[in-house]
Amino acid sequence: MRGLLALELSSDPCSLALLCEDGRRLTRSFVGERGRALLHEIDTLFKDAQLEPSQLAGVIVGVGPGSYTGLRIACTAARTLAYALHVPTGGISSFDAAMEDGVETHIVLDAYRGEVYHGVGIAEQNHVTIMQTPRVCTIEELRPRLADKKVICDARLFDALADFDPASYTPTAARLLQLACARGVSIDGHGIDALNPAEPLYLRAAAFRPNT
Amino acid sequence: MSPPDEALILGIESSCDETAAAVVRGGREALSSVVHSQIAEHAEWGGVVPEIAGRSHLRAIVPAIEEALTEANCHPQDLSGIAVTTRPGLLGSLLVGVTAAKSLAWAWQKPLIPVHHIEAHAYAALMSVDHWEFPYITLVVSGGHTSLFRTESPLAHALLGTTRDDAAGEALDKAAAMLNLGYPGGPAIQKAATDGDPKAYAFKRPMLGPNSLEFSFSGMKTAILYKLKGPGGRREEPTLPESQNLPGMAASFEAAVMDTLIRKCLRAAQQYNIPRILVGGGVACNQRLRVDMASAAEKNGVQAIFARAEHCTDNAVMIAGLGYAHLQQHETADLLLDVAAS
Repeated sequence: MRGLLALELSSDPCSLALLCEDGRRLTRSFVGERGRALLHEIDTLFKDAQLEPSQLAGVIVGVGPGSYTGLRIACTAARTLAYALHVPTGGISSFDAAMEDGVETHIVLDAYRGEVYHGVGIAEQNHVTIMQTPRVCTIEELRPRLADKKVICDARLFDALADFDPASYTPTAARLLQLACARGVSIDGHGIDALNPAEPLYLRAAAFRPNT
Repeated sequence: MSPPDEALILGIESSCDETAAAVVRGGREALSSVVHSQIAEHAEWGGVVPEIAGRSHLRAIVPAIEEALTEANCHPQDLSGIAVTTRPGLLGSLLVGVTAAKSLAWAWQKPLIPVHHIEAHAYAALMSVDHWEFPYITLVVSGGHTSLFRTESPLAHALLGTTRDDAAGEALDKAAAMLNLGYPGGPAIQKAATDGDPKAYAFKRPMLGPNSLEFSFSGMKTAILYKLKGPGGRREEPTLPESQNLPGMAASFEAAVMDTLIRKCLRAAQQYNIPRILVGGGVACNQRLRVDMASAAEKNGVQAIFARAEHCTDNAVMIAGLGYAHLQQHETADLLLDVAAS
């Protein structure tokens, strides 16, 4: 018996999902304290599934955009578990895991410094077509594009985007697993290598010089 | 203290701008030591940029661990525990190392051992001593820390004094930046000071009262700023005119910082009647500190013991070493282990 693990820590609530060889799907979620909680949650998930760490088949991680700290914790865990247990790891955009079915969806997250992360796509069951890869822009330049569109945003932007009746942004690890399987990942981990690397989607330089 | 056995500990260090992993046997013998330095990545900014550090740690952590185990010819089943720095440091940096350590501890079902970074620097000095004679006066001095302790065992350190403002290494960094000597400042100042007269320029040694064991380096930083701005602060930017003496300025500033450290150590040794001083941390690499401390200590009947040069800057040997001492006392953590900035 083996299990595929998915981690989504780019925003709150964070979530984990485990797909077992016998078809069982187990999930857990938690809020905040990602660094403190993650491995404890993984341990609990495996115990609930009655799996040993050595039965891990692969790790899929949501690579953002989102909390840099959350992404680094998730990617560090994914890469280290992959190394320690000789299993593959790969990433999927967290935006992919939040696209709505059958409708052009604009995802807008607060990127601080007066900017937002913005991406556009459409899901058809477990396939996602990306129409705008995630980028950084301002709400002002984005507004004209959002009229009559499905808008999903994080809680910090609800007021600013109230005109567009936004829905809540909730990418989940369970959805990452669905997408991974649709992209050819099998329960024994084959196909994970063909996903994106387990590397945070930062979208911004690590350091910048303020304009003077 | 029970004698060291053959237990192998994997140490992981990521508290600031070095990603390090090492395997140590019996708390003493380093079988491997891998340090991925980020100095080049931060140099452009004149100091450590936390976001650059966090990104770099993520890139380097697994390769560093893999290299340390390979170099030590160590297999996971050989390990008795995974030791990791949990505090103090940059939160984003600490989280990478601790998450990696927790992942390994879970995957390999090994004890997880939290280690205090400053105590590990003290342990680095202990690693250069064959026979321990507690207690010691311990100075840990680096770019982030300047503290004096009374050390009763590898795991027991009573704080005697710390800096009220800047760390000694931070003062060296800032002075080096003002003198356009580059980053990191400690080695740059030492190099520039090589042929300089340490009495060329006057810098006060802040003693903070006759019995104080605390430090303060911000005044020295201001003093060099005023010297570089000229009388009445006539130069807008701090610069050393060509007519002035760069080696002398560097040597004078370096000597002032090191003299202050030495005097405080000897004061602590005298106050507590402990004739043994341990010195660890990045600034412990400084040659003036090593030579002048040894000389002053000898004159005062005190033994000064420095960490080996390769164990002064951040490294994982000291983490694995102290991790072994913790393991002997069954001081391990569960998977809810967290990090702390201070």
